Amino acid sequence: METSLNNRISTTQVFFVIVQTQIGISILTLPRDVYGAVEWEGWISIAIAGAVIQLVLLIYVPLVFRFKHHTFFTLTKITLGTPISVFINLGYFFYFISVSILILILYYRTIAAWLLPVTPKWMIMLLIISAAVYLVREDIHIIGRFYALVSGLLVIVIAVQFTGYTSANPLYLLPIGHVGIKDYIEGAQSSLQAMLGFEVLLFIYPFIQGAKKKVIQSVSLAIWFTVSLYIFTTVSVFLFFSPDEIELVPHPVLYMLKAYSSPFIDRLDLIFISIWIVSVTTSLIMYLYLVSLFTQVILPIKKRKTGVLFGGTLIFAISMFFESNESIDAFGEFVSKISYSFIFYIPAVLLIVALIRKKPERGKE
Amino acid sequence: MKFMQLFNKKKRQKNYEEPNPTIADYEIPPKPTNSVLNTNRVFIKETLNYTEDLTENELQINQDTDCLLMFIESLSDEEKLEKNFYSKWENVYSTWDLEKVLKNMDAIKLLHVSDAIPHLLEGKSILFIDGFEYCYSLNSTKVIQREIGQPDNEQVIRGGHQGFVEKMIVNIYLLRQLVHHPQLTVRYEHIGEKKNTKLSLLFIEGIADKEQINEIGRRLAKIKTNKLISSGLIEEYLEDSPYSPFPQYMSTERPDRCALNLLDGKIIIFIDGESTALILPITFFSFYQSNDDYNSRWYAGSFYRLLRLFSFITAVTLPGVYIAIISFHFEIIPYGMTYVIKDAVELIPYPPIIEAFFMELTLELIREAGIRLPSPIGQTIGIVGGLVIGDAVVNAGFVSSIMIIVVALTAISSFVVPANEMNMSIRLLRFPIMIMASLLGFVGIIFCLNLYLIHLCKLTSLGQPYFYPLAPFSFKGLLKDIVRIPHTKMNMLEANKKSKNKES
Repeated sequence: METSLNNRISTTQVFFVIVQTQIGISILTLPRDVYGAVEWEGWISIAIAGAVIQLVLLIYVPLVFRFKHHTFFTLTKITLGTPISVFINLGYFFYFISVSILILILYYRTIAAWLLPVTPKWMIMLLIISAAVYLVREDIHIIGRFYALVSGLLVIVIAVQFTGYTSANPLYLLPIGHVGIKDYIEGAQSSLQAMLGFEVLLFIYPFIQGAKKKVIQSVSLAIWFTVSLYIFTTVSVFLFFSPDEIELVPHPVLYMLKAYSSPFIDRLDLIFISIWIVSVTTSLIMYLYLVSLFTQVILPIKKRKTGVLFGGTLIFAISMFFESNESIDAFGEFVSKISYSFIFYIPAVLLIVALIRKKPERGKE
Repeated sequence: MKFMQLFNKKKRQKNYEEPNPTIADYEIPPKPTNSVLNTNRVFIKETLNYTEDLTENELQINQDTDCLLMFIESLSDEEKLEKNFYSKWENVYSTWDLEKVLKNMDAIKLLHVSDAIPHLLEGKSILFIDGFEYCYSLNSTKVIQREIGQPDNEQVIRGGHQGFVEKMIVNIYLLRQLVHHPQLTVRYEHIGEKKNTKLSLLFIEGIADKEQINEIGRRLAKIKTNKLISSGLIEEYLEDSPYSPFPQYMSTERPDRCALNLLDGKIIIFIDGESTALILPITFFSFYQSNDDYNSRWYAGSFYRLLRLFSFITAVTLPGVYIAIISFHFEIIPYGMTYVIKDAVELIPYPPIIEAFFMELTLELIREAGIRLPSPIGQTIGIVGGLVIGDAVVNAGFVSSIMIIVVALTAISSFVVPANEMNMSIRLLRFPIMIMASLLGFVGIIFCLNLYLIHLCKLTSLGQPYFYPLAPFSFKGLLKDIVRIPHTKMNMLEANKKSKNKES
């Protein structure tokens, strides 16, 4: 895991990397997920989740900045010693594999439900995984360029939602404050899956070129951009559907767009879902990239490019085993449960240990 | 293992035995000029295999010293000889006088008669003097060149109407006429196995990247072919990824285009004997710029640039989108259009992909048939192909009329791009999209576009990102390359360009 100077990414690209990793599979289901916990006040929960993540960032930044010349692997090695660090990195490796698998199977489930009900599973999955492998073989700066490029599509994601406002009812958002604080927290938890992606900062920090302050700025900006987009989406959906309807629709954003009709084009949901595929691909690409980084340190694979192919095949193969909706849902539950440890507890422990121990010398392993 | 070795050996031997189709692979053993005139004459005649256009002219000085002038009449300009040589012959009374005359007309003294052969083949004349152990090579090269006219495939409405010709020197002259920069540097390179192809590298020292010039030199040195070297071959050797469908160089016949690029820090390559110049490194968006953009109002210039980029998207995706809509997502058709499309498509016996392929291939055939024919016949083919086939095929009920509209729109869009090589790439890029659209609908199209975009992000031209200014994104580059902001504002951007380029 070497970092050479010419394949670094700028702070602007960090913004796009984080945004594109965060926005992905969950934007379709997020309004309904938060509705389950706090009903029409879900957007408050999303804002709370954003604030919590901003706090988590306060753990990450001192940690990665303390080890700014080290990758995450050497970071754990220095703080916790070799045996534990191998164990932890193995954990992260499986965590990223699980997240990638979850993305892949949820993507398949949505595509099968909305666009291609009878197309074989392997084909739909192979499309997205092969595109991901094709890009992840390159260095991070190429990935950053691609992310910045496809972020232009977010304009369409926002624009099409304005069609929902043709039949919006502001009263659906009221009254505010009808649930307790505990419910808000629960709502925030259910939106966590949609927020995942900011943790890449831990792993890509050595590849970033820019001052600490600028990095914090662009990561915070990315988090709040995502949170705003989610709030906008959720509010659009809540304004469109009455509280009774929303419980019935599994993908409220798509149903909202489906209802719109114009003399020029019908079924905006099909346009939306096409763009959504790109967002899913970008999320998958980032996790596959992280997987490939870990294959280099914990498996006897020297070249990252081989690791990419290995990781891609592994994810694809395991994803093929998930058949029933129940198993997919159970797996989703499992991933969001373990993600607390990987994005919060372990970095917190690492920071505490690092603060107790001495500051590492530059370039020393 | 042994088998493989055998195989390799065989292959190597085969390569060795291959007949050489080169021009200058005939090695002449060095032979000094003999003082006996006849020996030299025989040597030259034998070396040139008694070719009949080898002309010899016997002359005498003071009626005692024999001289012999030899030249190849097809290569030499006899008028030039008459003016520079024969007319002065009357004043020559001794060999001393002769040498004086020759000095004035930049003759080259050759000690070896074997060296005279290449000179002869260049169109020079060789003068032997009896009793001298050297000979003279006189400049009598015939220069026949095309007029400097407007290049047919790169016309502009306003601006210079000069185009490059097949003579490298003339091309460099044309470029130097436009760029009066003291740091404009010309480097000559001889490439190929036998170093028989001459090309020149033009760049402006201080603006062009030194690393890139060195890199070009390294890649040119790798060319180990003994065939006649053409610009296409050089392009492939210079490309970062030869397997990419996108051209990573730009070939142009316009001096003004070259001049603009030269001042922008690009490197120009001329090949002797070809009227096209190669411009390196290049970005995707340079193909969508025309010199007319800079000569029209900036609103118009920007509008047409955006229109060309839109044409790229249409040319690549339109048939695919149509196929996807008809086969998978007919819900997307608005209510008013439903019956129109239903009427057109309902009775067609084939699936849309077959229709589309049939029409696309017909169109490619018409284009390919018309492109190299003289223009009157070419027009006839256009009419027969376009109007007759188009109309008949709809009436016969093979292809829906909407498909004809789609294919025609796509074809027009693909011809909008001002550069020919990009045009070819675009036309090929839409076939995978059509196939994927017929298999998977919008998902297939998105997959293909995803791959194309990833590829464009990966691609580099001499190490420079190919999809700049979109990837890496640069707002100033966007203003400069994708729209055309007014020239007065452009100068401000130019000043900041250097610092911007360093960010990735």
